Amino acid sequence: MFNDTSKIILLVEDNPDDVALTLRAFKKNKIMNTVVVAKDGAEALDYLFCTGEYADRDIKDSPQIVLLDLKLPKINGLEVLKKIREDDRTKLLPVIILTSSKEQQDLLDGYSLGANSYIRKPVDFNQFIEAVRQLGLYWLVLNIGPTE
Amino acid sequence: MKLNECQRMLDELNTEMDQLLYAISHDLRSPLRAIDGFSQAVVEDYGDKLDDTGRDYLSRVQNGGKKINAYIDALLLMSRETRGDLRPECVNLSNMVGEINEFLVAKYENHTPKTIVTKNISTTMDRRLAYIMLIRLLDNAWKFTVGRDKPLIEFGTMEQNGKPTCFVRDNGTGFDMQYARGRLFGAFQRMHSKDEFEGLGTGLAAAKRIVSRHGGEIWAESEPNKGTTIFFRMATG
Repeated sequence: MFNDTSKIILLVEDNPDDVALTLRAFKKNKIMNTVVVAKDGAEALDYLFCTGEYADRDIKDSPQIVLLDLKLPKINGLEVLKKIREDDRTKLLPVIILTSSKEQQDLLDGYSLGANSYIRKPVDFNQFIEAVRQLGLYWLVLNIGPTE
Repeated sequence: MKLNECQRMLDELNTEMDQLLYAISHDLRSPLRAIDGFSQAVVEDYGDKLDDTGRDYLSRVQNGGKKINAYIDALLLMSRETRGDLRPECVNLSNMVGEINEFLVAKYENHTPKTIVTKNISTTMDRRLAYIMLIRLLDNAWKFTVGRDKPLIEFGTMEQNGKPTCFVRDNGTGFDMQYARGRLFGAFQRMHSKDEFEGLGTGLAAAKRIVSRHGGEIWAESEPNKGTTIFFRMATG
């Protein structure tokens, strides 16, 4: 199956351990796309809207998917999602919430704000790899995004 | 202090505890994922550089992490199950016991205890919480009668200290009351080793929390190899 690896995955995650594990899970599943890591909500917005340290980036190169943690420093995940949906340039971007929380309220808030998917990070690493495999297969291969 | 004021304070404390529990458990998941994930990474990438003892130690690290995770799940389930608004109504407990016993027949394959249920025992309780309480009590009764001679599980009422009181009784493995004092209804308290019976020790803790929320009482009588009886009654009878 065809996966355009030139497409970027934006991973919004503040915990370096989770970043390393997620990158490992990508590698294990042969997902070779470039992964840009934003360590907090503000950096994620800078990347998406080409401001701050990403001022030189071309906003037309939008990432294929955004993997968004909820509990983030500076600006939390739900606030990031809200800003993505409010802006015409990013409102159609597929956003997948990837979080430890399975609290009902977080699920409701996430979907209300327009998340495309909500995935809970399992503690068991084998289950985590499997979750990333399915996520990659679905969102990078099967699903046809709005801008393709 | 008036009784309903006490009840309100208890509810507030419970809510606060639930929030604390949620926050702690959320923050514990990430380091647990790191423990499991990086142990696994060492096994996969450097496993051939370790001897059997080294690999054994690593699998113990991973198992420890998985156990903590299971405990967190159990605590969260207990807190989620026992919270929510209290909407007391007249509930036919006998009918519920019948339904739950049918469900437990499916769960416990090859275990068919005799069940005796006194009909039409009712009390004033929140329906959902009553159901969860009875599941926890009956599941224990089923679990601790597995492999016993002529297993028997009863649900009925009797007078205790001059008040009508419900009970769930089994003739199962029982336990020594002298080891149970003060901890039987606590979270993660177990009366048997993990090799003998499965479970994390949250069943009676959840039942107790539900009974307390209704201003009721719950207590136990047990004897090794004779069985256990759990008594309970709500404040409003």
